[in-house]
Amino acid sequence: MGAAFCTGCGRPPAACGGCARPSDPWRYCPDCGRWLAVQVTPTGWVGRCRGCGAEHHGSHQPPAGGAPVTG
Amino acid sequence: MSGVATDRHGDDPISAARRALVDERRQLTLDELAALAALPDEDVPALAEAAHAVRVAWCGDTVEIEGILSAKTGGCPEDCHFCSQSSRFETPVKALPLLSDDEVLRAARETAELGASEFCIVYAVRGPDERLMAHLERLVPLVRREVGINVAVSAGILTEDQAARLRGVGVHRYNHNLETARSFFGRVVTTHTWEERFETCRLVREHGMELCCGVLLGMGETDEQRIELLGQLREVDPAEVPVNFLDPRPGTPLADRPLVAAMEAIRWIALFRLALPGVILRYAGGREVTLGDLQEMGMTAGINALITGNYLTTLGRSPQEDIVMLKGLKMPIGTLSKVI
Ligand code: SF4
Ligand SMILES: [Zn+2]
Ligand SMILES: [Zn+2]
Repeated sequence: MGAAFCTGCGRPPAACGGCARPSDPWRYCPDCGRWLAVQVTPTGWVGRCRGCGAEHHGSHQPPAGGAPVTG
Repeated sequence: MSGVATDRHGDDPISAARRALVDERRQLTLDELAALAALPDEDVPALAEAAHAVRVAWCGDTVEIEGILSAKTGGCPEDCHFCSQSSRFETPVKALPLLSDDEVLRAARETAELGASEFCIVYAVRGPDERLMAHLERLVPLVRREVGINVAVSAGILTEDQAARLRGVGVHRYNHNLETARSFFGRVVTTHTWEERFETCRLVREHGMELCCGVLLGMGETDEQRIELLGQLREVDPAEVPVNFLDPRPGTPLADRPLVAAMEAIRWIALFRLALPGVILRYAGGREVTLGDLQEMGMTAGINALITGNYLTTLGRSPQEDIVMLKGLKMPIGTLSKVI
């Protein structure tokens, strides 16, 4: 199932085809489109949604050509 | 080699620079550096090779690894036009509260496990207030004791008293970037002056901390201004110079600037080494997006340290990729200090 909202700008897919960059953690919640409170550390990042309470995690930039390491 | 002019020894300017720095241990003049900056692109590999020889002659082959942590993200009152943490711009990076001691300790342990010898704790502030000073006076000894890693701090503009207090609690290095040349600074920051930054750099050294003083290339400064910056870095005489390349941040005034071209980045890494032969020259933010597959070439163009893993608000590549790269280059990981 694809994300309901763009993690780069928080807009629905009809408005944004995906502007998130590999060098950025998610900034918006894919579930509700609200802004995430994001803490980056050397080994990863965590984003807590102010809207639905979901917590999203990731690690680093994907290797060149690889899929983003996020979840 | 291209048909560049020769000097009185019959050398081309790259060989002359190498001889001055390796054989004679003589620093290059800013005019000599400007001449190297003007060489055509096809000379960049030879320039990089000379810079690598200078790095090995002055600093050896050891590479120092550091991890950095944003312990207070966003909401900064300053207006540095490249920064997503300024409260003056509409960016997706919003203010977060100060991290707890436990959160910082966890990140420090994870950083040490990556093979890093230096852990830099960074605060998005103009300078420390008394609450932040009290936090640092508690936290820095705690991290040193519990994790056994060198602790660096970056918390903006310092007063004399604050510099003395940070030294007193064991801050190994203090980071305060000049970012760019004095003549360009006013174009990218209006809420504080270049001179204020210079003064904090001076205080850091005066109070016995190692100075980490970085730059950010690609904001629209000219080659002449980069040479000017090299002269100004020599004046502040840092132990370490992190080299950042602009990764244009959405919502900031520099959002639409192009990336520095990869070969131009290699040229300037080499020129920084040739200008500052004994410093710890560190790969910092923007290296992945700017250099891509050429990151290994930077390691043989003068770089002898890196920030591994993620940055303050953006992601780096996996630390494992750096370890594999260093193994392939046969460069040992260890601690460094400035060569006089
Ligand atoms: S002082 Fe530091 S955190 Fe604040 S806007 Fe400037 S670069 Fe960003
Ligand atoms: Zn988008
Ligand atoms: Zn949500």
